[in-house]
Amino acid sequence: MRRIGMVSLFVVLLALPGLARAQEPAPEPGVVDALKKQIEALQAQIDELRARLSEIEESRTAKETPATTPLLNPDISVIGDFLYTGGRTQPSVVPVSDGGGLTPRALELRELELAFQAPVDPFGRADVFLTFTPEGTEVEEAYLTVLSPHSLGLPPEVTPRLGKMRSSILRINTSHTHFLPQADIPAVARRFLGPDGMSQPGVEMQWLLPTRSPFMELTAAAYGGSDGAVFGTNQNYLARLRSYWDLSDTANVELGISAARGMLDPLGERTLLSGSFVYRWKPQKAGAYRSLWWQTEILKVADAGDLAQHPLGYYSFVQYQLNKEWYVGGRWDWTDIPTDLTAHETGLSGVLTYFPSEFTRYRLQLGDLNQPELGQFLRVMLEVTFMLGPHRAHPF
Amino acid sequence: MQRIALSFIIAALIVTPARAAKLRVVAATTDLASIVREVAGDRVEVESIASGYQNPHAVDAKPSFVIKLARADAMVRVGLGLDQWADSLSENARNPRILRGGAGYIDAAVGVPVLERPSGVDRSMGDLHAFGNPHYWLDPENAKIVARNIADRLAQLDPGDGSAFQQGAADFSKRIDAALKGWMAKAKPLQGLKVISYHSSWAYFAHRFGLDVVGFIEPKPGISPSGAHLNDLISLMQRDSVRVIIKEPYFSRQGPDKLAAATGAKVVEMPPSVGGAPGVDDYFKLIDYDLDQLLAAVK
Repeated sequence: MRRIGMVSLFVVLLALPGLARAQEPAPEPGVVDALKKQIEALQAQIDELRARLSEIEESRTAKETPATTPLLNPDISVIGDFLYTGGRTQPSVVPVSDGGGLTPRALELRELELAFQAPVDPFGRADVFLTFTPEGTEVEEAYLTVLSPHSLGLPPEVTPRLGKMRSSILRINTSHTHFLPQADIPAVARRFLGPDGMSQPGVEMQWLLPTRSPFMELTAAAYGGSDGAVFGTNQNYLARLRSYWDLSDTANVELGISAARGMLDPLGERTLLSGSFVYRWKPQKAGAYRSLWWQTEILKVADAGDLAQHPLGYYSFVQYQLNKEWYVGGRWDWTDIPTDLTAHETGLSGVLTYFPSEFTRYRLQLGDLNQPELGQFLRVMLEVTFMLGPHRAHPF
Repeated sequence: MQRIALSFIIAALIVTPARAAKLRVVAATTDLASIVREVAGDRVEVESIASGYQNPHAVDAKPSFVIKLARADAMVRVGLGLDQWADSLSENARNPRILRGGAGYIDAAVGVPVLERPSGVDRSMGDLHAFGNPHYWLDPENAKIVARNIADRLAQLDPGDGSAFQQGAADFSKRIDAALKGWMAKAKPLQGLKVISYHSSWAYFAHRFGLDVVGFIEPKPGISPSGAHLNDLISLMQRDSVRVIIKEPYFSRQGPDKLAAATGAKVVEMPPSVGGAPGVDDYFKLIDYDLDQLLAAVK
């Protein structure tokens, strides 16, 4: 009897939803469409979530190990520097090794720099810069920076660099062509260090002195010399003290003194002394739109002996940022001619620079120059620089 | 008698355990420094490199920062490519602890759900961050993750205070949860609010508080707006009735003012970092201040 009752109840329960539906009014057509759309939207969300889930699951699953991995490739950058030189642009009348003369070409790909930069291992990083110029291909710099000096048994305040490096005898000498503040290098650097600057194989030790303020860094270096450099292929040595003060949150000053010594045939021992002064101003809030950079350097040769010569030269430039993209500046050059102390070179240049982005630069430079080889003349330079790849920031 | 007293003093000095020096923490930004303070209190010394009203993308790697980092036990980085300027600072600091992989290198972004991660990137896209939008700290939920990251690493560096750091992170998370309830309630009038922002600094903030960022004054990240781009934005703002333009303190007013003049929208200066406006001196005040600025604009 109880079984018959249960079956009847079950039948009634099954029939109830159908009866209830039969009593509901038919939904309006618009409601059905809206429900369909909602279902479709929900289905799309489910599909998207499923896809994301499978992506996550896939990323957690070990893949077949490839023979090599692009993740271990170094950062590779390419920097192109085009230069047009107008005005009195006679072919160079002075051998390049004497550091004189103008570029013999009116329009040229002055330099293509190829940079490879990456950590080598947990203890250091390597930076390699190859340059392709109309004169040929050169290793501009290639050095290992030891970031964990304890791995060489050195104190932690010391940073060794080994390889081929641009010497810091002048601050401007450490700048690659594309990073120069003007389209050309100052006359004193060109006359004393050569048109391509001074880059030599050697060992550098940079020691951060234990001062809280100012920042003080001592550099001691030994170089092997190189063709065309100021010391020829003779060994030479450098010491540099660099100090830095924050005058305020927006202004700072950097002072540096350097001395380099080596043999120069046939004069004998040669000593170069230099000093640098840099003032920077940059408001923190509007730092992307306004800044000022004033830099001055002086270099003097202090040779000893009967054939002693003491030529010197200096430059001073100012660059002011007008807005995010535009900079205006000027440079004054004065330098003795190292091979002829009776003559000297002067120059006054005005520079207008436009950066559409961090990676492209257009620069117009007008110069009123006076060189003993060419006399007084006006020169116009138009420089276009582009940069591909993740080139690391230059040192401050 | 004097000798006895002296003996007691010497004995007390010997017996009293020497308090270890505080950990020195340098944070890349003021926001991270603020969260370090929340986690560690006065158990650590903390300072930041970028100031609150400075563009965190472009900070000069001054040598004076090198001195700070040379002495640091830990450095807290924003990560996701925002503070790449800090790489050269840490490499020059002669301090292996704070180099990538070092015991004191703290990437605050680890574990944060990243927005706007591009599937591919090249420079035609401007200064687009290859790892995704790096302004994640502006979502308070992410601040909790940052606090945990900091606490975990500080606990490794100073196990003696480890439990205090973990407790600090937990307390911070609770305070964020409590504050978030208030912030969400406060932000109700902002739900669905269409805004223009100068740079894509507000993706996480908008995601949390329901803003709809419909355009940027920068046509591409890091690129200044052209007249044509501003005209396009004016059309967009008129069509979509956009009433608010968000500008970070370190960007020019020129573009935002032009849009405001043409559309009647209000320019709201919102600091994305602690210290970016007077009185905004911790993380909670930052979120409060930014919400208040927006609410005042839509009233």
